[in-house]
Amino acid sequence: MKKAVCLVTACFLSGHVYAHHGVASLGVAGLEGPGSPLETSSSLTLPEGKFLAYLKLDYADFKKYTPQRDDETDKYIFWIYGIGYGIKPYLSVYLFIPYYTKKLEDNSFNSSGFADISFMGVLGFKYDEGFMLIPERESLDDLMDWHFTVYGGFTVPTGDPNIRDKDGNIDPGMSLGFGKPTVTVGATATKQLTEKLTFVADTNYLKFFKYRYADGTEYQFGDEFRFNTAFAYRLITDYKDKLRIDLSLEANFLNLGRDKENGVGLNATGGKILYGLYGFRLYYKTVSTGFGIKIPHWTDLNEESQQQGSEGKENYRLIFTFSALF
Amino acid sequence: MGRLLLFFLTFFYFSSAHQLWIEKGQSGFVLHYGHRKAAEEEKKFIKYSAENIKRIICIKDSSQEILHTEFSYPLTVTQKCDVIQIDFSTGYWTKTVNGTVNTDKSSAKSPIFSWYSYESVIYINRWNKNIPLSDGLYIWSLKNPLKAKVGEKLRLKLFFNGRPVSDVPVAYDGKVLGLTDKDGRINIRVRHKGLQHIEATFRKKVNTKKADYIIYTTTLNFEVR
Repeated sequence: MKKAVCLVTACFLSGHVYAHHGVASLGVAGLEGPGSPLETSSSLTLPEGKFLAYLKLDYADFKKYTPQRDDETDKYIFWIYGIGYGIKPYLSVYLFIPYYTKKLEDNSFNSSGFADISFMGVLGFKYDEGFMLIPERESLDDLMDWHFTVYGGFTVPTGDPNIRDKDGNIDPGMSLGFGKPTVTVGATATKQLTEKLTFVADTNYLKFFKYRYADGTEYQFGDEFRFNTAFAYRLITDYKDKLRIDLSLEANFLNLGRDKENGVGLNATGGKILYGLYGFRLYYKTVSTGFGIKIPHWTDLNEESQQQGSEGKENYRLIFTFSALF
Repeated sequence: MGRLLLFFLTFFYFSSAHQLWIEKGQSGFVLHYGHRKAAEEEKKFIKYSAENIKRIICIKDSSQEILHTEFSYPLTVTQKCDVIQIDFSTGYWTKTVNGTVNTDKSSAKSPIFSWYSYESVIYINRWNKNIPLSDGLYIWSLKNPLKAKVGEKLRLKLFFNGRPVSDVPVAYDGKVLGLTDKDGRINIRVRHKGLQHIEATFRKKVNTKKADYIIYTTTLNFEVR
């Protein structure tokens, strides 16, 4: 159980924290221009001097394998509050503050509170008869060029890593922090294929470091690798009411490394998962909101039968995002 | 947010406003006014008069000549020009509580605001990189647009009284595709063969008795084969 929960925690602290999607409007490109998926990070950077307020809910409901109410993982509710700022047209920075709630089926070990805050920097560039940094102003035709970003970030261990249950035991997976910073590097590519259809690809790598918990256990979460692809299709554009609705279809691949406890690889951790995410995004003026359902379609977990509560063992996950540019 | 508002205003402006364009026919360069891609309720060609024509400039081999052509509708210029520019005006317009009228503010009843409309249209017949700088508003291509293929980007620059002008919306076939940058530049992709139609509109506040603004509109026309 403990190992499985750890996996889930690690996953939620990576892609979700670092996802920088959902820019509502870029100059004239609010109601047209490339679409942004819900999970896969697009290559849009923030306009210079503009802020982005960001909110995301990730609600995970897990499969249960025993009929009785026991200590199987029931649900996780992850809120991410974020703020971004465009330093230059090609350089954006973000701060994310996560708030997590983790609940077991029998409520024997629930936790809730603010987790590790994270910082991220995004450098955007494009190809237009040569590679160049994202310019200050782009026409709708310029926005149809290939756009790319490279990004990097780190967390600061502000969340409590040593949360104990009623018997005084520490479970790293139920904790709110990792005790040590984590580091992420990633890259995205975006191509608006037609006036309505946008392709987005995003890959990133997340590195965890070993932490000695208050009970003396040394624990290191397995590294994570993601490769996400997405298509966003503009379904409705209402110029009069300044409204746009996009359909978003995503395939999200996740490779979880095996966790280590006191230097030894842990059983029932790690594996590979392929998710499908089906959602839509609504734009209104400079505000955007998205909603989707994420389902694991294929899994190859290391010890599949023992990993209840792990990534890949969800019934479903509901994703909600809200962002506002100002 | 201001930019976004400008976008919406401009979108509707380009969508509904009359257009000025030049086509090259067997008899010469023909000036048209109306709606190039008219909707059902719209007339494609709107008749104009000699009074609307303010200036005709013929550019050949980097020298320019102001033409004085005898007017008959539609205006047809028979001279051989590399580039031809025609300046055009429908005069003063005033938005009133009862609608928009073709008169200046001082002559209108219950005026809300008024403007003087000044338009220019440039047709590139033969590529001439060294076009003499003109006054008013005009768009120019940074490389030969006559060699452009469908799908290729045009690198354009917008000038007002010879200087690059920024933050001006530019439209292709009536659809706004962006604003000029600080150097007056914007890139637009050729979407079809035939006559290309690129427009920009610039509003200058004047606050005279007759008008609050001068609205300059310029059009760039050329053929892609």
